[in-house]
Amino acid sequence: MSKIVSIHSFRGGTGKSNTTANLAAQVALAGKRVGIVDTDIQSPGIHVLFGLDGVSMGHTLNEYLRGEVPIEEVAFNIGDHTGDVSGRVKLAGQALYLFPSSIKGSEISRVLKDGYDANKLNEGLQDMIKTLNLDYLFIDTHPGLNEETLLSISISDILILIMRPDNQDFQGTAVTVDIAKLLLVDHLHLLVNKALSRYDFGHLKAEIEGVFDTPVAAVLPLTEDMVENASGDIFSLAFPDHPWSKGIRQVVDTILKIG
Amino acid sequence: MSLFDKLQSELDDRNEEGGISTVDLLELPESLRRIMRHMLRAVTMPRKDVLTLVASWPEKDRISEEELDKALKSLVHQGWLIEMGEGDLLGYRVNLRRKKGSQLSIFNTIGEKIDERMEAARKAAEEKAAQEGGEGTPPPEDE
Ligand SMILES: Nc1ncnc2c1ncn2[C@@H]1O[C@H](COP(=O)(O)OP(=O)(O)OP(=O)(O)O)[C@@H](O)[C@H]1O
Ligand SMILES: [Mg+2]
Repeated sequence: MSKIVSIHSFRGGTGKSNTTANLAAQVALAGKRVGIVDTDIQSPGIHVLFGLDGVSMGHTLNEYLRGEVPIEEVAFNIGDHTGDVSGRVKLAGQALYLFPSSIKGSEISRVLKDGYDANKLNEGLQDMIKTLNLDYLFIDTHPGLNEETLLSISISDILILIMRPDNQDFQGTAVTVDIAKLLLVDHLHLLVNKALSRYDFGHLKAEIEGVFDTPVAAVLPLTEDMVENASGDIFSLAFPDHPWSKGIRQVVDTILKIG
Repeated sequence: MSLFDKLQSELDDRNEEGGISTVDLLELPESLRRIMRHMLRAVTMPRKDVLTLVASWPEKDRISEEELDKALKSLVHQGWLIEMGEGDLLGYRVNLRRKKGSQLSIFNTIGEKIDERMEAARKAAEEKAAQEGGEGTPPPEDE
């Protein structure tokens, strides 16, 4: 059975897009057929990690939602267009597809102004899985709890909720955990990102698991190396021995074990 | 618009547009939330699959066929489910409420301007690259 994996956080800038791209890339490298969809239609970003810009991106989710193109025409085959940066090039030939949202100002304004048919969005997500015969569909979301996010949570088999060890993240994460439980997500995992290296990660994991009564898939360090990468490459492919990358592979193992 | 008018128009919208919002979904009893979730994944779900699903639940959570049909009917009546086919082919699909647009977004005024600026910046970068790169590279194609 294909699995839908949503990556979400209550607050912005927690590392959702970088995490989604890295998890999806690693799962594709493990030989699975993988799709990634950017449902952050008001502030898309994940395409950057795969080297796409407004010109190379081709058709977008926005055009699909307006009924102008079928969903398969939105799929961008990353395995065929890796470019030559050190991490991404390892994805050559893998079955990894990105469904991008438009980054044109006029397109973003149009979808915000006109809204869209939520049934069509759901059908598109389910169709992606069928037409490309995907094992996994990863959904990168807009932060906070809006309709797209709630829809993606309610259709997920696995939800990875990212939080920073920051008091501002705690309350919002608690609300989101409650909602995910109400929406009956089968596998809910927290992922702590941007943890200071001097923290005791084992202790932090145990503490957060206690507070939220939810497993923590990994604790990932705050690192200047990620900042330097500037979302320009798939970090865990470029620096496989880095502690951040090891943490990502721990999450990948969790995902692959679920089935 | 007065506060009352605003509220009224919001209520009208709610009734007019129909369909279930995810907030409505959160308020349903667990058995129905579970069924709706499967329907969203399946897009269209035959009634017999709904029965199979319910039968797979632990005894204490199960609902009777009669109860189930009553619940499905009321969801259809509310416009939250759409009934399709009949007899053996009877099935359901979730009717999600349309995501409403907003006239208030800042993007409405600056969206096009952003495109113009981006396009100008891209052209400038290309011209610069062409000047620096010499004759070897062909001029980039326009969209
Ligand atoms: N562990 C980390 N250490 C340092 N910087 C990080 C780490 N993880 C992510 N970043 C940086 O944080 C910024 C935000 O990352 P990213 O875009 O992935 O987050 P996001 O949650 O998708 O943001 P948004 O909510 O805006 O969509 C990026 O500059 C990224 O390089
Ligand atoms: Mg993002």
